[in-house]
Amino acid sequence: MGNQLKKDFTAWSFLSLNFAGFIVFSLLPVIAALVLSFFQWDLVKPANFVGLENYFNLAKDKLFQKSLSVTFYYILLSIPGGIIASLALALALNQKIKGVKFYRAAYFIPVITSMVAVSMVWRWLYNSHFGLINFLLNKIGLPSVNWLSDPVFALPAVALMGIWKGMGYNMVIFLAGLQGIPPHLYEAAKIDGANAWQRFRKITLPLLSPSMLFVTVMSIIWSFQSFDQIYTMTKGRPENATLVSIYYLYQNAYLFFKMGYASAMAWVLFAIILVVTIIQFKILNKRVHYE
Amino acid sequence: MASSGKRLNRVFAHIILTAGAFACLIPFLWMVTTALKDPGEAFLIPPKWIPWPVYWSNFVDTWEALPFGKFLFNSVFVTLSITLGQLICCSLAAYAFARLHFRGKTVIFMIYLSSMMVPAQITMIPLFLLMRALNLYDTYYALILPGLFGSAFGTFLLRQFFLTIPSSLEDAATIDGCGPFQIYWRIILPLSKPALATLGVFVFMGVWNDFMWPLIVISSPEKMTLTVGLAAFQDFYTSYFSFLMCGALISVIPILVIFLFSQKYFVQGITLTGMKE
Repeated sequence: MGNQLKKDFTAWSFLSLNFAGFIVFSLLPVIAALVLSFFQWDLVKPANFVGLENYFNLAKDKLFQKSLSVTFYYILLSIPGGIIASLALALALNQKIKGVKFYRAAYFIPVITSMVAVSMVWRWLYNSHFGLINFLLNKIGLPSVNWLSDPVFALPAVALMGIWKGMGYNMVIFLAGLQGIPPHLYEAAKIDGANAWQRFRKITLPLLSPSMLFVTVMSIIWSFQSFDQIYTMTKGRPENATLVSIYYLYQNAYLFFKMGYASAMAWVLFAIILVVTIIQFKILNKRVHYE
Repeated sequence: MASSGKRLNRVFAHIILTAGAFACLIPFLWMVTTALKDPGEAFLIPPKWIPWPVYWSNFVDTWEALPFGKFLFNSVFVTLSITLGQLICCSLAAYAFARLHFRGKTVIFMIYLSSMMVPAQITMIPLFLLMRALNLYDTYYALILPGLFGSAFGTFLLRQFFLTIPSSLEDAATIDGCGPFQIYWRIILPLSKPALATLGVFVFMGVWNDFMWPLIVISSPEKMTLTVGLAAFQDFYTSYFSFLMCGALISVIPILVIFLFSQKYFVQGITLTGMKE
């Protein structure tokens, strides 16, 4: 018994700093956020208990519903395109060509730079009068677009930038997945007369499905956190066309100081992400092959 | 027949890859040209690509418009502190989870793992309130403390790596009379340099580019990090694109330099997170 106690003590001396931080900055805040969601508090008047009222109000909140549809639209705009782009790059990079390091470095530069800096650059690119994008469009005869001030184009514009920024990241994951596919499968298929497209469909895609699942799940979870680019490029405008849920949450918590309401919102968003993730696992898991 | 097919594949691949590289780099080139141009020429149609003469004064003006020196210092200070703190605390904890036996180990590890699922927005609100309650709002403590003691992710990552180190080395050390801390310090850590470098690079990137938390918790310009300072800069100088691009360039150079020297650790880190255990 004394020996186990000594072992426990040793272990805890290693664990203490990390664990203390975890309790104070992770565990307790999560519990506090739950408790807070049952109160109304504006930081000035004392907090008062309202039970589930915050949650009922959320269900009726038209702006919250709008923010959810914006978020899901954003996911629709950025994830399929992002997967196709990074998969294409990974397939190309897998061809054993020269200059891998250079290409990879190029694709990584958007990934590692801050979303704020990148959003500022793209805001300039999307400028209606002087931006490079409209200039290039005009050059090939297309009319200028009010990218960030037109409610129709604003969210697609931000989504395009999101695809551009994340391509390199997902490419690396797909590349690792591709390199895990045994080459003899391709050779056997070639002998059987399968062409490139058939080989892609019957071998590459199924064996890439674990990576595909990972990329899809992580990308969707990540989309729910797209705060920096909205704050920097559009602040939810125009006409709430880019009001993603996390931005609406930010407004409620740190601009309107509705601490309880915002906490409830954070929990509802978490629940939504959880459900979406579980659904993805259920649907895609049937088609994921691990060998 | 087969080789010409392969060559076609390679040509095709190069086309795609070059197009991708162009797409990734052009916005940055555009940022650099705009930053170095005569501010009036930023609005030329057709746009002028080569900045000549080079307006180095843009940097001076940007640097003086807002306290960029302070922003840079704050980012460096906060990022280095948290990175160091995480490496130390996570490696200690990871060693405990990987090699030591203590009661409650599995339960605690499960709680750590489930905490990784909770998004940051949930904990941000109570943490904000905590900082205010402790009178630490708008201080360096608010920026550094939450991340200083490590993360569940970092602990998890290092634990996975430590588990791959053959225990025979540690057994030999124990026979020689080494205690757990010496094993940790003399054997595990030196062997874990790649994993530590990877975690370090990841944490560095995450803290350097962090925006929402510093935005919420800092209000005075002298304590802002580069990301928040840059956003504030944009709020004041909304259409002064030359200066905005200057600011963006300043905030991007440090991490680019680090990236060029440690590219492989970035890639390693991403593939590590992509691999299911």
